[in-house]
Amino acid sequence: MHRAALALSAALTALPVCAERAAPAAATATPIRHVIVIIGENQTFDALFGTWQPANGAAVNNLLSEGIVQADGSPGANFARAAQRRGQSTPHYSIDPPRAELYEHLPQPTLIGVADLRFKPVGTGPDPRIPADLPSGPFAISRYIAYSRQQSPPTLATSSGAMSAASGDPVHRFFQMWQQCGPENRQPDLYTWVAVTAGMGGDTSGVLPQSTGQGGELMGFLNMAGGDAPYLRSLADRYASSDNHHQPVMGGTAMNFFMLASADLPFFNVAGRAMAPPENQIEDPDPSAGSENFYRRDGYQGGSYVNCADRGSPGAASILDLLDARHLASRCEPGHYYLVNNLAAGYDLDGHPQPLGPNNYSYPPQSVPTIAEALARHGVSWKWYIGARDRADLGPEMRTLHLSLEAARRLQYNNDGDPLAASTAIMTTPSLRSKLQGLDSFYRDLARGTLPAVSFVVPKSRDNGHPGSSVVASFENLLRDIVGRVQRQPQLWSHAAIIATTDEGGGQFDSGYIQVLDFFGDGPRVPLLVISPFARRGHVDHTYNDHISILKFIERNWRLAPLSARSRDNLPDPIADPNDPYRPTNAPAVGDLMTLFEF
Amino acid sequence: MRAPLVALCLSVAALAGQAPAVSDSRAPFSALAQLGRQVFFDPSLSASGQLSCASCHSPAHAYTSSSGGAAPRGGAALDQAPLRTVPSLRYLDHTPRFTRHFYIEHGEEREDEGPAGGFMLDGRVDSLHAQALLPWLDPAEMGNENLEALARRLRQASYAPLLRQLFGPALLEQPRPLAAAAALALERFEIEDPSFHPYSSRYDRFLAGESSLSEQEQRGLALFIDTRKGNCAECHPNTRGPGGRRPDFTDYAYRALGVPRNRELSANARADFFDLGLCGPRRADLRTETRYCGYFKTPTLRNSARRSRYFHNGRFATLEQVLEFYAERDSAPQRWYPSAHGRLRKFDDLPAIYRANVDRSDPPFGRARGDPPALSAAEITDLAAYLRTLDDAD
Repeated sequence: MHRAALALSAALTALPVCAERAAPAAATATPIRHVIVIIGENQTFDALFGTWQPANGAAVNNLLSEGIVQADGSPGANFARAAQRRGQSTPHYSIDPPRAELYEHLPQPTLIGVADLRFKPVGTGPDPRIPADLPSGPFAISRYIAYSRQQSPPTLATSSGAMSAASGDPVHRFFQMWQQCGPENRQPDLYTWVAVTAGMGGDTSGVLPQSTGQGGELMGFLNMAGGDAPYLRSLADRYASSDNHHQPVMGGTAMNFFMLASADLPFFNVAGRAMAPPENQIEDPDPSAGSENFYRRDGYQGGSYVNCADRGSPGAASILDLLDARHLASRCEPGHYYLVNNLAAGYDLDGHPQPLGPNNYSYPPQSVPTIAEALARHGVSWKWYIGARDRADLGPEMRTLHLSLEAARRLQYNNDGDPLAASTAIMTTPSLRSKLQGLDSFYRDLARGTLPAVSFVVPKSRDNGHPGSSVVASFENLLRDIVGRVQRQPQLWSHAAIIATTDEGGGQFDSGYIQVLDFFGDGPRVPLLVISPFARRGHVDHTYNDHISILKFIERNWRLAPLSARSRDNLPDPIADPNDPYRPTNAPAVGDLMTLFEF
Repeated sequence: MRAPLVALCLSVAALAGQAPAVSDSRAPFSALAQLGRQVFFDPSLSASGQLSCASCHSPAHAYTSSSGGAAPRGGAALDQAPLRTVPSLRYLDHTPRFTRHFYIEHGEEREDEGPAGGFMLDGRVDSLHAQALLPWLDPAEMGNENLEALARRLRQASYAPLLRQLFGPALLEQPRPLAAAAALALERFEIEDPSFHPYSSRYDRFLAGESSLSEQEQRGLALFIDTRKGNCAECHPNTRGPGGRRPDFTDYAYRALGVPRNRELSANARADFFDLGLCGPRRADLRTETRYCGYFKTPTLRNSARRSRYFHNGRFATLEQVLEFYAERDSAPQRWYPSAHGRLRKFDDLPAIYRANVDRSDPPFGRARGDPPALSAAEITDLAAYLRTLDDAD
């Protein structure tokens, strides 16, 4: 399929005028006429760039610069800053529980979520490749599990072949992550204890108070100074990157993608009216009887919503206290139960609304305005491309694994990375819904010069770098391939910005400062790269950003207003503290990415 | 037709909250559930006057059929053979509503399981009370000609005064709400009576730390979860579910397994008749979605050793046969499927165009013809021993 697409592209580029068949592009505020946002999965900044040393000697804030680890990945002089300790049980949920003793050793990392090359779970329990007596802080994964060096365009064969490098997939849920980071991530020493004691919540099959399945896997990092993730490093050295870019919501994929599409959050509703969800789907993170820190109601088949305007709602008070102390608004409307953990979007791929009920784990269709409608209203072209949406994306899976389309899609479609499929405005308007396309369409649009002004690109699950179900080397292969294809088209490349990031940190450790914005976040730092002829070469940007910054860039480039009166893209740009470039003095504030460019 | 039914549902909900006067405060059940118990055992609601719900869903046999044969005969003269085997009514209370895309977590991320949920083997109804209407009206089961006939029988039932007391006298005059009320009563009975979910198996006691498994049963358990051997837990999860609840032994999803045709079924006398599960003939709304043809819902494995027939068409009569089929479907297909003109007709209970829908990749399937079976005879014995620990104590 790709070979055919390439042949076609060669034929088309020979023609004199092949770009922009669409209506004349709306005038842009910068020379950037094409933004391509590529979203990988579940890596914090420290997990990927923890030992990066910029080639030009630029300052960067990471595990190595803080002295937490050395360039060979072993503990550094300030290892104690990231040392993990136990917390003390509190009668009610607390984002800042009293600390107890240090772990003597890091709990042995587990095989949780690790899949084999045929997409099957490898097993459960301790990961036999990693010792049980590591120091209780960050450790270099590649010391025990070799980084995959395979470099080739992303195919099923190469990404499957790389799976022997997969390692455990730590918990990444809303209340857990708030408790791990606490106020501003000031004292990042409870990551491990929260993961081990709370896990993915008892409303997840097989998770029990006495065995949550979690260990110290969240303290693992890739050792860039030792040669891991070489392509990401080369991109950061050649183009612009941020060491202060954040996931916008504490927790997992669905809400962070939803924020990226709307600067807001989904809530339970019936026909647009806020309602209470089935009771078993309301979060209660207070410790259950007799447990240290095992939440009363939480998990993928249960607790997922919070009525955060109500101080009496389980778990709300501890976060609201922090906001009150900073005189910050919660962004919680009365009577709204916000979705803070992954449930499936309200429509299936065929556009049918999903059934709702106590034993069904989808959230209702949403009326929250999205960037897609705003772009469409202003005549700016856009598409949301996601791997495995279309049959054309799944040929190899269907052929080599002898799978039906449905079965192949189940393995490769990242349903939480498709937030526009939750929007009633998109899914019930054919002209908008038709802009939700597969990855094969992306490659074809790229080859034909018909790429829209704004493209969101979500890889297939196997290529997104998510721990357990993918490896970072496969995400590198995907990025290398796309960057190469864009650069081979001078007309496109000369006005393009590729923005590469991850949706969220996946519950992995990060040492960076976190700004308190509202009830929902921000969360830990994630990597962000701007690959463009206009990127400030080798620049490491310290401006405080999160995924809303990507929206702000798009909005400013095409002169759009904020998406709604309450959306986060109304926040001002940060004015950096002269003594600490990472902290805005005018909090809450997030940047617009313009500082990563040179126009 | 629809509006009165909705109104009735609301009034019943209100009633249930008020504990109506008729209820004996010492009784363990709500008044509606007590009524449901009477409905459940009432043969006068069938055209033959001889079949009650309990005839096919015997409380003494884990609410499945006690009789042999593929499926007991029904209808007015008890001469009609139903299309499908009798499922147990136990452990249905966690069944989600039917959806084409059911999401369940694997490790940390959720995965789309495809179609899942709903009641009946094709998920065509979304609640126990809607399910109850189907056997009443099935010509090969209780055989009421229509709702009016059912209502007539309900009006003459010994518990008609209780129905009137609970729902008001007007109800008895309206066939559809009357049938709906009886169905709601059945649902309450199935939800409230612990005999529908006793969780009294040895495996439940093992999970609670109160019992142990023999070495053979432990070997069977290992085969059950081994993704290269039995791989049973792939569709019949045996670990605790949400909220720490005991395992359901089903993922409520649908698959095509290619079970051989059962020529004992009278419907199968016609060579061009096929029971295609999700895409018909009983279920009507997915007929054009041919990718689902041959898909049937995964049943729970609790009390599976006590069944008299297995799979939707009742093709197999013992647990061991079922396990041998799983182990050798692909390695020795000649054991299971007929040949015509020298060609093996594998998956002969599906039209040729839908045979690609059958699962060929998940172990124990996916072996080549002539390979050793996925499970040896000794392993099948061990696996069966483990499955017997899932039988409830009664």
